[in-house]
Amino acid sequence: MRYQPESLDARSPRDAIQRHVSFMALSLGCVASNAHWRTGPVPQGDSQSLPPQAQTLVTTPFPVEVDSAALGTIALAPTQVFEVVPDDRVERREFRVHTLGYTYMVGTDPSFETALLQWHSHGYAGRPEPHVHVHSNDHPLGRLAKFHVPTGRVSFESIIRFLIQDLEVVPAQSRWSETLEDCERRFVKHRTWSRRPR
Amino acid sequence: MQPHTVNGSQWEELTDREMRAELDGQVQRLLAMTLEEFFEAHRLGKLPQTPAVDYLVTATGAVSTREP
Repeated sequence: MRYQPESLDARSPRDAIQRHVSFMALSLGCVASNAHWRTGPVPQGDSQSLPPQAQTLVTTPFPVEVDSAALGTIALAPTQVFEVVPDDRVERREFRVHTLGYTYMVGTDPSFETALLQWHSHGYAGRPEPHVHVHSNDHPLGRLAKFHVPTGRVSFESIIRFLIQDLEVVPAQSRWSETLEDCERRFVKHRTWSRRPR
Repeated sequence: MQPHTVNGSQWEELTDREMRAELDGQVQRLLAMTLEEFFEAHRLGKLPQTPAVDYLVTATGAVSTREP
């Protein structure tokens, strides 16, 4: 099923979340037909900088387990934190999702004791840019996971494409390439940041 | 916690209480502690640097995702 994002108006904050989750679900569905997304208010902990209405996006089941011809079962744990803001790019009153951060984690076991890769939109002090951690202890540089390899903002669609093309995850639908292309095109067109979260 | 079908895809909207329970379950599964214990350990800087902690820090909003 193909969607024309321009035809999906978001006249309310809930519409905006619904639209965002719909495209995320299409991408997730390319590798997992039995998983879906849950959204809800971010508990926030002791964070003082997240907007009070920030939402978190997680999967159920958690983690999502998919079959890889190369590695057997792979565990996927993606999450995003976002807010809904007025869409000032259109004349009529509409809303859009503004992504505040993401972590996409891929491992070979559901407890992630042996993670493979982690993409983050943000880091800690001094390393705020989007990056990936590559988990490998067998490398001339030593423990690779300590490195923050710069990536720029990574789309969720590119993670799913990586799983299928590089980790040989079995696609859950035949039109996965077209679906990811459609969703990613929309993501690239509408994103408001590509280097650092703002 | 009613499932919603949106353009052929499924989505669940959780209340604040339900999302806390969801994340509490994830924290217990990955770190064998409660969400409140996780927040306290994060505040005190006592969490190990592991992939699971990094994931949970994002999902729970325990860390700033914006530059100051």
